[in-house]
Amino acid sequence: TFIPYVLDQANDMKHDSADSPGVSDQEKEMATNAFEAFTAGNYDESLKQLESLQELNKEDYKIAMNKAVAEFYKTGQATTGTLKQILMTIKNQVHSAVEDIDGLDDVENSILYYNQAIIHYHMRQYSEAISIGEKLYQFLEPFEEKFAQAVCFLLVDLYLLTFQPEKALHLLTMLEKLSVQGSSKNGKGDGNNSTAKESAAQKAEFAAMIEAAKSRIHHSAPSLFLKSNFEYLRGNYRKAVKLLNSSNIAEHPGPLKTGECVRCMFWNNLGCIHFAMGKHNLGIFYFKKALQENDHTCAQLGDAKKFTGIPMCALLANKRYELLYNCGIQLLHIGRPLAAFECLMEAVQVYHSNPRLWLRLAECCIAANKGSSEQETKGLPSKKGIVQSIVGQGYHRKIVLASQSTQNTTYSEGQSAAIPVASMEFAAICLRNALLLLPEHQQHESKPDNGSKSSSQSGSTESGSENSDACSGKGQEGDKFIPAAPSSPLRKQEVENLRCCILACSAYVALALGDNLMALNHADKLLHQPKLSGSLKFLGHLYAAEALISLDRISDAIAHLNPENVTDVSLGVSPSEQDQGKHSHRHTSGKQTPLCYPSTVSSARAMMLFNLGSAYCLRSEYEKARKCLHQAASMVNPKEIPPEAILLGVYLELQNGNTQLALQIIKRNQLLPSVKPSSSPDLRKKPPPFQPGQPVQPIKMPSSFTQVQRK
Amino acid sequence: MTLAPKELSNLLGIISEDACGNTFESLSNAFHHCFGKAEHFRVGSVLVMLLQQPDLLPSSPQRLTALYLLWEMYRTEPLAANPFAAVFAHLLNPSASGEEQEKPLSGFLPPITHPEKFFLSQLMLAPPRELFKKTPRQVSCMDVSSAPQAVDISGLQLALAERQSELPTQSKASFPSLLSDPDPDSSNSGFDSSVANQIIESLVTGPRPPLESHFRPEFIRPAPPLLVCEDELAWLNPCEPEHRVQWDRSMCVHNGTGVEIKRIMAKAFKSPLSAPQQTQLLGELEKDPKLVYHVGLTPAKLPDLVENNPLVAIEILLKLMSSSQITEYFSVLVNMDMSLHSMEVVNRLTTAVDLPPEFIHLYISNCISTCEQIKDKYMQVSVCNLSADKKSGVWCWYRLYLRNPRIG
Repeated sequence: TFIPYVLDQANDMKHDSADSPGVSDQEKEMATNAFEAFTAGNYDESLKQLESLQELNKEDYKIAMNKAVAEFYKTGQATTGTLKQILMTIKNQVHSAVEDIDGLDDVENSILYYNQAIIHYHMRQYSEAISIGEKLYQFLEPFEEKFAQAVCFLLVDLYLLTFQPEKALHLLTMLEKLSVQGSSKNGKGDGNNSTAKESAAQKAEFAAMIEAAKSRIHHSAPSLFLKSNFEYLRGNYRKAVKLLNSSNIAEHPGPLKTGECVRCMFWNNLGCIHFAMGKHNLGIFYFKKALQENDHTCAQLGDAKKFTGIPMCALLANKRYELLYNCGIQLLHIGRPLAAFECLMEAVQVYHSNPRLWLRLAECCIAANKGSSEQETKGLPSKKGIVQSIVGQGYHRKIVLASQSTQNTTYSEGQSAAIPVASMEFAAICLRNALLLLPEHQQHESKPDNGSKSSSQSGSTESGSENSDACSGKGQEGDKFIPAAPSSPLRKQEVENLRCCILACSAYVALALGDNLMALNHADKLLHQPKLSGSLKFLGHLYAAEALISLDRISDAIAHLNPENVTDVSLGVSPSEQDQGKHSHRHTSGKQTPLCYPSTVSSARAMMLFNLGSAYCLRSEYEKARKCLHQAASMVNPKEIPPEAILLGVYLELQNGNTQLALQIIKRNQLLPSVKPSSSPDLRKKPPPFQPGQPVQPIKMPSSFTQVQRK
Repeated sequence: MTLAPKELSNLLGIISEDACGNTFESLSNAFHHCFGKAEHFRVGSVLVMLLQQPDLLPSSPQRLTALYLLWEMYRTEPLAANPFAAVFAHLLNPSASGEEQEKPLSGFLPPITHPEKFFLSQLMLAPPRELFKKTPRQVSCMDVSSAPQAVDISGLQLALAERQSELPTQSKASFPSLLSDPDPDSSNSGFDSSVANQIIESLVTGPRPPLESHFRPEFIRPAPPLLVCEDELAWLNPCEPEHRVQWDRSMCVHNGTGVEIKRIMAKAFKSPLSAPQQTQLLGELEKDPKLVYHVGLTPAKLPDLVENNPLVAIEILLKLMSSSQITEYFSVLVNMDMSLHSMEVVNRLTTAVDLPPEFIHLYISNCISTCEQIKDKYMQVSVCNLSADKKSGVWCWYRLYLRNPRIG
């Protein structure tokens, strides 16, 4: 498998046909012998030739480099660290020697640079590799064609690895031109660019590219995986599973040979498909299997951090962090936030600039502090008890009511917020990170492309630079994407959704931490987002109102609690969004939207009315509060009436002097209609409590409501 | 924790039924012996709770002790500054007394007896010293029918209302979260102080005792739903990358021609080349189309070449037309100082290839501004002559003009 990759440098060879003063015929012959021995895999012989050559010629650094290359192949490409060191030393020497003669040393030293880029690539130092690759790309014309292609393919793979598909695509079109020219000239050079095309298809946008690639490729594992990926992205999950299953992973040579653990990828992708299908238990099963497979591979490879002892290609085999990310997201959706937190905390050490990952961590903290998460995942309100405890018995029996706000407000005392535990304090930190990692609203149209504009630094002006750098030619468009490794980059709409979600969580966390001003700030910002989903808008009003209440601005709070503020509770973006049409087929196809409370407009409005009732209570407008409470109660299933609403009923009865009725409400854990005094035996002796502001129109009681009472 | 168990048992000792035979003065002494100023508020809170729960503090003498202690703790301060002054105002409020029979608000203070009211009224005024020489039991049995019933507390009420207005609405709306729920089936088999004390202990000691919690209208706060997004999980595709370390075949194949050409080029940047040198250079460039990339001409060096060897510059630029870097060369050309040579180079280029219009536009505007800036009449004439004399030059301007009518 380790056939050295050698270029046909016929064009360069032409130049030395004339008699060259510096290089003797003997040297040339030795160079040829060394090369032939190298190509034949006879590295010892090759090294012998190189050593004799070095005796004759002390000047050409390329002898030393080829020696290092031959040594590297001799060890089965397992001495990456050593090779890196040697190349670095050579490069430093070359620079001091060559630079003052001629500014164009990059062409002469292209192989040296290329080899360095290859090593960076395998050490996952992608930005270093890209910067070298882009430098080489500027001098593409003088290069011999196969080498030019090798540079391009390296760059394509690097762009794909760093989730810059638009740059990769641009390069591929360049390559296509190059290979068309090449094949018309000498009929070669079409061989391996189909694989690069396949890998370009990381996003649904590259569907066309895949189709093109499809026609060329056979039933290799990579192609079947790609086809499966394509069907997965289109929402054809059964087909995706089928395609994956048809790839014969058992016959794959294994990670030591190819640097890729196909089994691990197989299980992981099955996990992705089942997650998308909403089959979370299967999803977690497959992700765990993938992690086991990966651990197994890593055990085979030993310590990859030393960069010696294992083939260079295998340095890239470990997919632990991608798998941990997937696993964490899956665990979060299955309602195991603490396990998810563990996974994602490990993943965030690698993907620390992914804003969505920070939000996910915060979501873990929120879910972990929410109490009975099982209830929540079923779409029901948590049944936090309304009674904290009962003290004494008989004559002395006393009920201690549970304060919901102390249940809601969670401080983890005595722990530094910087220590990652799934606390609300840590959630606040995560959310701050997430928000900081998102681009500002207006700016990202004009934000300059960072880093990739390396070619046109000297002496360029506006007129000159605009198409000087082919690599960043689509830079402007590329800015629409926010990197979110290990996932595909976020498109503009996804970024805006993400921002809304972060703001909603920030407001929620601030309320839980008692930071009301901050909560109001976040909620206000949330409500001002241009593309706000119905359900987050609802939450924004709710959070803003609660913060305002705590800031003693009751009237402002009441304005937020107008039930008319809720018009829909969908999680998606408004249908006017242009992206919608493009991907709408995916929403409908089996992908499950998670149940979240409240699930209907009327239950959301009911919740708002409950809170409005509480707000009226604070202003001592008890009749209005009562009206809100009963109206809201009529809108939801009696079993879904939240404890806060029941306590509001208790409060109103106590305020009205109906202690017995209040106790009944508590004991039944149900709202009861405000009784006609005669019907209550406990109040028989007392005159009917006068209710001054009784509404003119009696509040309609739904049948279910009265039934509950009769039970 | 409101009170430590030890503190509580001290307090319960002072207000016990047995202690009611002591004078108020001695009760006061005992109290101050046990509690410092810092504990007063916490002790007071417990006393208020006991007043609110008549089953735990059933006898009138005990209530008198509790009321006395509430007043005594803060006697050195103005009455309105007593944090428990609202309790006094509530109990003495004459309007409230009438309605209380109808609306026994749970958790609120149950009404007090007439002797208790009398005693409290005395406390509100300047109390006579001999009052504290009595025992709670004595006071509870006093016949107060002759005493004036009402004491004017409107001043106190006003001060309290003022203080309350500063509190947040939410705090004002709170009830104690302790509700009495006597079991109707159980017979009240008489008061057992040890049972009561046990209950009191569970209400006021330990972390977060029920005494400290309050009950008020609270907001429902649903947690935000999980972010919904597509394509979040990392799908893994094998791609069998073929990136390998490479052997450099240019080792020891030093190109003799290349070296010579580079030498000539190095000279060309500094001075005009001789005719044979120029022929050799152009000939070699013609032979090998890739050689042009190896001659060492960077965009930065272009102006030198243009000034010294405009013909060579033209030939090389024409060969670089397909290079991705050609725009860099153009931009250098356009921005270099105006001279006859540079104009000639641009002129030749326009006739040979189609240059980008924005480049020509920029070049001409540079030309014009240079012409305007030249003070030397002679030089101006000669520059203008170049464009006027040389036929091709004129033709060039003319052609440009036709192409870009905006240039004017």
